[in-house]
Amino acid sequence: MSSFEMTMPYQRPSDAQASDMETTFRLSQFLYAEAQAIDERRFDDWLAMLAEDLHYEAPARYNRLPRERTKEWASEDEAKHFEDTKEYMQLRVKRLQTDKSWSEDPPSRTRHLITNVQVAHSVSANAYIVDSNFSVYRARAADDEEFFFGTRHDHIRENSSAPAGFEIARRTILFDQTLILSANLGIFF
Amino acid sequence: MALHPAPITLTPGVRSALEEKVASLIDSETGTIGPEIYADPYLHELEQERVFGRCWLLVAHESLIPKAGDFFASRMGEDPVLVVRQKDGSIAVFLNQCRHRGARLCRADLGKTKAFQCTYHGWTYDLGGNLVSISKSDAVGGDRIDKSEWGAIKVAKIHNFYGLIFATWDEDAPSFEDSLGETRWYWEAMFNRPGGTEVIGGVQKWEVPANWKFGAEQFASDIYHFDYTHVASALAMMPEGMEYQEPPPLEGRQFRDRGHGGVATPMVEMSDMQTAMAMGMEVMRYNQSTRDAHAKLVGEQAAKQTQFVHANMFPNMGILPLNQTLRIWQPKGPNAMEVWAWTLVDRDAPEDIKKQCRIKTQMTFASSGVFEQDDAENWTEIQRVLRGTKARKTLFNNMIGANESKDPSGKYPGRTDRAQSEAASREFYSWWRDLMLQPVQGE
Repeated sequence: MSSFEMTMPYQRPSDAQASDMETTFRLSQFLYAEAQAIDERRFDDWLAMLAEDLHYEAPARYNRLPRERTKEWASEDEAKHFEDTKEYMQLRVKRLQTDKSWSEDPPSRTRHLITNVQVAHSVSANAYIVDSNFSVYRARAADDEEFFFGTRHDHIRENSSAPAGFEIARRTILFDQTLILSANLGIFF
Repeated sequence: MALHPAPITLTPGVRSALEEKVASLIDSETGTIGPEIYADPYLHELEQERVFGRCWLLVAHESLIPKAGDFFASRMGEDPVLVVRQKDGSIAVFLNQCRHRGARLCRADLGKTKAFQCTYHGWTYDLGGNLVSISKSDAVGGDRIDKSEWGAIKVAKIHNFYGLIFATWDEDAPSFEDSLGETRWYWEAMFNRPGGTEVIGGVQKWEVPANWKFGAEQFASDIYHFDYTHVASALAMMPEGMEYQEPPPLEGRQFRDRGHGGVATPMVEMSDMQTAMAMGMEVMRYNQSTRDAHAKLVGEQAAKQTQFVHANMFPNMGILPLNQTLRIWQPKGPNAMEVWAWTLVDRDAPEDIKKQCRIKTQMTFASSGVFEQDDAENWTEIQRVLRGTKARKTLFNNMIGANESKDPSGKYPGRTDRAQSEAASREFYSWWRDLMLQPVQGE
């Protein structure tokens, strides 16, 4: 049987309950603050928003035959564009901060537009399940520009000791491209 | 998306003018490169005919298509091909183009099927690319067409080299082994692994706005760039409290023949440290544990005394054995390439080792890889500068290294130079030039 409906590459916790207006507002503001930290290249601030047990991933994506559309996304043990722990993210940031990371010299000027924010809470996952869409514009040097669109599926926890009051424990990034139309994924999503 | 100019059809007159140009652009004696070879759309077209239309090309790893009906939509140069596992276990490779009006037979990147049916008029081809059915045959008089004459265009030869599937359009191509020339020992050592190899499932693809030869040449012959291009990642990966020092000149030898090239270094304590830094302690220990079994297949020198660092099999298969990335530099017009990259692992490695390899390879050499990014940046910058007429007429210096032809220690077979040399680059371009000067069948 064919399935035109997209099969998502993650499990939504079965007990996820839509959050109230205030929680949704607070989480939305958190995502905007996060996007702002990235766009302003305040990467240490950004790292402080990521949990110590972070799992940050972006599965590869494929064009499939109609009856195999459920396999549009790379499975758990297959190729991914990102599959990072916090330690790896720290390394990526450290690399940028050496001032010798040529692919970011001059730095990309990114603009993260985060929309379609939907917040639910899951007791079993001990986290808010936050879905959002992104459009990321990347301008670099003089005439380089790239566009990235996609959606994100996050697990975000309250953490009173984190500067923004929340921390991202898990992020699945789903790009709308199969062939990544970029020389590198050297920016954050 | 990179600019992809309309294809050009070459005529005999244009080809001979291009031959003269090619001969003048590559001077392997002094070591100069006329950079029009990276930017000229006519040369690109001739290259499609005479390099990609003739050479053995990597099209897939067999682990991508384990069972009958499994297929991988690949490329040979700019031509789309299907690589398909047959019912008898063999592999077929044929042009992904319907013989009726030329539509793509299969638009999926990979998968499993019983047959390929064109979506335009429904002509159907079996797993081997043979035309088996003309739709509405009775009504349209399809029976007047001899189906055996109108199968998808098959490659001339296929070769399975320890799981890597190669194909060529050239019936007169030398055998795959012969095509490796004096570099065969090195490829055997890299790919003849105990239990065989596989690639982590799927594929990563990204587009770099630079000519494919920049990737190929660098993997063939350029460890020289490492300390400069990749200094940021090297700094970031230094353990806490350790000062970064520029590494001493690399020991070992750079091998080259028939356009292929790469570097092999002595396996010393430092090699294991490098593996540990790049791939993690567990992978380093795993690699050590396989050396006895590997030595039984390829000998002590290859398995226990040698660390393979980087290599390019002419024209467009790159590998970094230490970082376990395997890739194809797919040409896409003169100004762009697609990189198709995989993590290469031992088929028998424990699952946690495969996972560790996948994560580390993706982190270092892949679409988001911290080392990969700086390479793509340099190649893209070169391509950008080549928009200029003066820039395209300015010769590149390809003179590093001594053109030694023998390893004085006798450990590394074939023609070799010092590790930090451009001898393999000169070999790459001189082989490229020789192929560009020889017509192929059917031009």
